[in-house]
Amino acid sequence: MFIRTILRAVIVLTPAMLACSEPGRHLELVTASDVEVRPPEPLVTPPVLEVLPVAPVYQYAEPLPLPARHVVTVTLVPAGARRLRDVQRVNVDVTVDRGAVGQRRISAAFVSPQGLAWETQHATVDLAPGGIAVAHFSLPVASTFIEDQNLFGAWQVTTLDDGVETAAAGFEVTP
Amino acid sequence: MKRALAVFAALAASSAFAQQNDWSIDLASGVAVMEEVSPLVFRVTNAASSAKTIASFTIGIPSQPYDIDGAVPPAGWRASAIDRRNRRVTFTAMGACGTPNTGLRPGQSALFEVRVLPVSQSRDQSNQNLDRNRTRVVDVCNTNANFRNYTGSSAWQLVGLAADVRTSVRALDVDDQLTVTLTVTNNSTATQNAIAPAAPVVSGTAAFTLVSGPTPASVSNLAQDAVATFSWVYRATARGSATFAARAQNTQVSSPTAVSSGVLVSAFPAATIATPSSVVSGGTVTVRVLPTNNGAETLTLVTPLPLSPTGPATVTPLSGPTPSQVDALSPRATTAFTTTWRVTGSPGDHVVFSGSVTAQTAAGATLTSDPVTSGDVRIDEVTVTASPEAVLSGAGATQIRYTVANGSRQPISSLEFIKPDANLFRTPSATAVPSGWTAGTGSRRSGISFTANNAAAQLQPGATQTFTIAFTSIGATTVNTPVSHKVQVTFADTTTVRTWDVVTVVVNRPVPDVLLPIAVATTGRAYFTWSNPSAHDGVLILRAAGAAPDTAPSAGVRYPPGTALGNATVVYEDALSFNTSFADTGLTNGTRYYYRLYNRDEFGLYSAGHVPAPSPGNNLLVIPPGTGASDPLWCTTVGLPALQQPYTDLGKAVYQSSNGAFITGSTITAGAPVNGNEKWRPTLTRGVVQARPTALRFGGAGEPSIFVGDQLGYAYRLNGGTGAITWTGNGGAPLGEVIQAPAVVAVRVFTNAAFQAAYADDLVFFATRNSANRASNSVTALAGATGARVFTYQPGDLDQVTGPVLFDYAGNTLWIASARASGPSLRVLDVLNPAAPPLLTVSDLGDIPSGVARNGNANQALVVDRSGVARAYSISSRTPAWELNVGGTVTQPLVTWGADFFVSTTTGVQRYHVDPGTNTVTAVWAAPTPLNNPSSVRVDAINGKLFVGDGDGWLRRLDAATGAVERSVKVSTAGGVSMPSYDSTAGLQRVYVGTADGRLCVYPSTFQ
Repeated sequence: MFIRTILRAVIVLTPAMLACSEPGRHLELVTASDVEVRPPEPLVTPPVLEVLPVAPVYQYAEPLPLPARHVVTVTLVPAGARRLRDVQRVNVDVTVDRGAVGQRRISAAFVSPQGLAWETQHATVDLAPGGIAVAHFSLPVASTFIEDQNLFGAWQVTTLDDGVETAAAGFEVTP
Repeated sequence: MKRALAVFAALAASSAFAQQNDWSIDLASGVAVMEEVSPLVFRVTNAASSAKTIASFTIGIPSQPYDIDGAVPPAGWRASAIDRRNRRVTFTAMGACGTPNTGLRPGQSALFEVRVLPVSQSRDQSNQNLDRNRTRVVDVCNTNANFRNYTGSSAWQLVGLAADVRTSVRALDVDDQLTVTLTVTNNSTATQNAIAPAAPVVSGTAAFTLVSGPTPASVSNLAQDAVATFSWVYRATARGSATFAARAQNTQVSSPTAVSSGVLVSAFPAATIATPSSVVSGGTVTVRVLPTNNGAETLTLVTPLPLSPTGPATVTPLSGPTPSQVDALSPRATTAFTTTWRVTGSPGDHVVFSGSVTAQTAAGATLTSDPVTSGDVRIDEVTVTASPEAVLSGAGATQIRYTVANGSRQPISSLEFIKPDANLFRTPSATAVPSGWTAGTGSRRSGISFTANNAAAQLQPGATQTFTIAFTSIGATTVNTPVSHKVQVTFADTTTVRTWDVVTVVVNRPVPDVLLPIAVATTGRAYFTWSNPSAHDGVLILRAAGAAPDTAPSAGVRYPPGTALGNATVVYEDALSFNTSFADTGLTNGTRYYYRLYNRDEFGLYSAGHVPAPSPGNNLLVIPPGTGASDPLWCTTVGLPALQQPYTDLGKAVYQSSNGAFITGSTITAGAPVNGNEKWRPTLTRGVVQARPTALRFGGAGEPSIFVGDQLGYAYRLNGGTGAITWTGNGGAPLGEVIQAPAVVAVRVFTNAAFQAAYADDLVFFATRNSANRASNSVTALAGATGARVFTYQPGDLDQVTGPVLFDYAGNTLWIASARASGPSLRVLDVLNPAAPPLLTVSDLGDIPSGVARNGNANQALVVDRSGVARAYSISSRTPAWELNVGGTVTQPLVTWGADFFVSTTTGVQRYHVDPGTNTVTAVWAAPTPLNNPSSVRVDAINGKLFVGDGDGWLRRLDAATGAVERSVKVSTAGGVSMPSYDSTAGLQRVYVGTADGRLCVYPSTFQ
């Protein structure tokens, strides 16, 4: 690589230049107005400016979503009913917020007082950024096998968010 | 002198002639990416004005900052020399000199690919170009083909970011979502800030809407070799195929536009996956075609069509397809057909596979799946295969094994594993160094090097060798992040090539469970069947004795059969498999075994094992029966309460529904092996089914039709032969909140002329159990053939109907018994004029949960209210016949037998006799047979026996004459059992009973 240099001024000889005693090398004082010269070869390989290994930490512009949250509301219908014969249905409303944006599959798993899985119901909610959604579930009781089998006692309902257990609640029906 | 002049003239002519030969080189496609093997495709054109053919030429690549990886010629050419040391490639036409079609004749052009490997710079560089002094036409045919320097636009861009775009799924249906992930790797030498992605460009016929993204919007402080991911969530809105193209950049560096594999939005897609993506010539590729049933009905006879390989590589089939056919594919399930192929060719050659399948619908139509083409399989001189292919985000110490295959003609003397993203793959070190090799620190970015100690230890052509690198931990990511693990290969002649494999850092995410697992217990054996979801690589089955498995498998870990996991043992495990059955043998009869099934996805993540349900009782209970008199012949397990009376298709099959919202069909075998294996994969309904299946054969059909309603109010007709849903009634709309009562069918061929004049089809009656507005209940008649609504009786004062209605063929009347929070609890409807007021209304009775029964001997309709008051009405005159208080709470349907009927109260069973002449009713047995909450009885009319289940889990056999309990067997220790069914077929005589713990058990009628 050549560098085109224009020498127009008086060259100032520095002590270092005058001290050069390398065999075969000498200085030429040139006053020409336009000459092309090769730059001197570096005596020592110049230091390469390397990028320091900065700790590669991710810095996201958006915070990660908080874990999904369910608030479970259990209502026995009609209001005030507790007996197997009287409870027409158990409504389970799951208020969903936080977590991933978009479609999510919310499930409610009902477990009988005997500890046996009774049934699982599913609903799909669509969560907007910062929004909430409510998933509705309903368990028929009177005149179903729950009444036929006398399944009174403490029931449990576990809610799941895309298959991950998220919350639980209970309710009780009497004989 | 004359001769000298002649030579001069010839030279002058030759020189003048050579001046007319021109050629050009233009970049057709390609971007050079630092540290990545980058294909650059050049269009080489022999000018129309040239006088000579181009039969050979050399392309020179600038030595700084490029290495040459390889080259791909067009048809009729070969890369005759790849001079990696001097960075040049010579292409030579394959035909003999002078052959008309050899080389590029004047005016012709062709595409030539050169794969370069650029070393890193601090920022993007533009106007990268060929070395003009070393790019020239070679006069290989000695025809004085002197060409001038090439012209054209051959410059390319060198960029610092590598890019990779992937989608979470490749086959989905409308309204499903997918995630598009752009992964960029900073291959420049500088830390980069404010890297932001451009919005993906969706191309194709499918349509998507953006739900969210990009996440994150930008990334800063991205060090050399580090990777960053950007993701978007889309929802499919229209069927078709599409690709997603994305790129990212800042002011210093950019990425090329990366394009995803094709995504198909279809009701019946079939994805094709070919692995591995890189082989040496002669290597074997496994191709799987994965059809997914996105429809609502089960497909049958799923059969693969021949694969279509496309590309310059040569492929030869070796095996498959395996299996050759799949009997049934449930909704949302995926299966796989596997073939293996040998791939041969030159380095750079590639091939893609496209597969499809056919299947039958319930209506007999043939569906052909929409194909999704596989990714490229390319032939490389040297390949590396990483194992595992995926590691878990945030995992601890992890070892990755790299198997290097040498498909070149040179021995490999050393390898350098270039350090991947240091944040994700932390502190690598060599371990388990192969004998004859020495590990050290590499010269390129502090990678790990392995050097053969001597020539004998070098990796010879055709050989493979595995090298292992240990990482102290795996960094955390928020989305699945594919990271390229690159290997610099040095041959014995000191030339080098680059190869790589992708290891994905995966985020632990919910993985879908297997679908519809069923177990069948027979003596000493449990036989499992299930369906696989599309996100699937294999299945793990745990077995524990005496208690449910207490420990779940860990993500990323494989457990060979026999491995202990908590209190359980792994009894089955597979990978790269869509197998759907397993037999666990050698079991101890009478022992309670608890099984749990886990689905594992392609990244090694396990499902939650929430099948059949997420609860403490979540397992499949298997009790292998012995051969004693009190042992069942077999039991199937669905894991959720199955308390409906099973329906027995005598001598052929038994059908059962459960709280799992599906219906099962089990085959009946008379001789050995006696089992209840599936007749078809369970049929999904939308809601839980607690109504007994109503099954009929129409017109001498070989298989029954099954009618049933669910607790979401939907009504169905199923094909008993295949399990396929023939229709969902009322145009797919629910008839009410809940259907609890069994369906009742008016079979037109048995009806009278008046009915046949009014209706051209069978009528199927479904009644509702609405609770929000109890006066809103209804009875709807659906057309048997189509499920279309014929009429609905909804008077506005009809309460819940939970027992069967009664259709009277002689009078075309429909007897409806209901609860009576509003209106009368018994009414008779004129089916020929359903809009008219009822022919009979009875308000004197209370709730009637048990429906209406017919006493054929006396031609009476029998009802009993909850308090135990029974009444009979003449069906013909609709007048009261008699009334009796049976003395107890009654919720179970009455069962009639000749002139007699049986009542099950909550405390016992009694038989009553009706004198049709006097209408007097008398108890037949001295006293009711005391039982706790018994079911209705099932009568064995031939032998005069009764079968009944009770609330304590016992199956009893009573003498019909006396009511004495002759036989008892404990079926369930957890809750009650259902009303039994009885198969009187000669040689069988079996009793079927469902249980609260989710089983259907079969006993010989002689059980002790």
